[in-house]
Amino acid sequence: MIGAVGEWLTGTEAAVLLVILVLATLGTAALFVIGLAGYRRRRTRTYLLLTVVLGLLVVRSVVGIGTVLGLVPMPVHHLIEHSADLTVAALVLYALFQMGSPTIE
Amino acid sequence: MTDVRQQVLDHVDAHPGVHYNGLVRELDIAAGQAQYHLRRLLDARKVDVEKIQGRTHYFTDGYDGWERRTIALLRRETARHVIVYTLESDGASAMELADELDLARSTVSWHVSTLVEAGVAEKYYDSKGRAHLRLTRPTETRTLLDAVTPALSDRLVDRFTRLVDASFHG
Repeated sequence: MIGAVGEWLTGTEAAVLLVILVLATLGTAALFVIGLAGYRRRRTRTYLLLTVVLGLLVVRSVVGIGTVLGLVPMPVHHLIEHSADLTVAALVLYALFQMGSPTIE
Repeated sequence: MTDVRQQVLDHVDAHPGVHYNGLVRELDIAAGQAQYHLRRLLDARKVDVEKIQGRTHYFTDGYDGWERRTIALLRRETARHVIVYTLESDGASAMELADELDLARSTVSWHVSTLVEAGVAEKYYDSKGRAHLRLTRPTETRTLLDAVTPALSDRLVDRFTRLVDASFHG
């Protein structure tokens, strides 16, 4: 069915995982494009941070596809995926912190 | 003129303020081809552009600068709602716009400055010093309302910015 898949999964598992990963890539890519358009309009730091976060989600899915196809070795996969998680958490927390407290006008 | 170029020109004529992406999608032609024909039409002054916040809108002859900017903004969901509300309420306050349209204050203030900058609306202050918005050319604006509606992609970006503004005060 699928020629080159990683050794850690069967052909059926690889097929299911690939379908999910392709859908995830399409979904996150659509969100990333929307985020990018939002940033181009507003040009604020918050929009930039969120666009980077959405971009990282696309990277995660693409790396996932690479891993299923046996192109990305497992240690590299884990390193990229979990570093991306760390960065997403840091960026969103930073965006929340820089909001500051509400001001009374 | 080639068939494709005539097709592009007809499409822009029928859809004033159309985006490049919308044109490519609707006509089902290659992006490079659309770009080439649009450039030739621009050179020949058969087509005009209006750039608002990083997006390029295309027009055929017969629209002045104000009309082009108004049409471009009416193609965006939130801006359109602010314009319509201001049109019907005849002098909406910024606070009212936020409440009635369920928008974050930062969203309202961003759209108010965009509309004022484009000359579509103007700001004035009442006796209590509260900011209000009124349209500069209400009658013409009402006519243009029917000419265009926002595309799905614009609606999504608009909703994303409203979500971010409401959550992060972007």
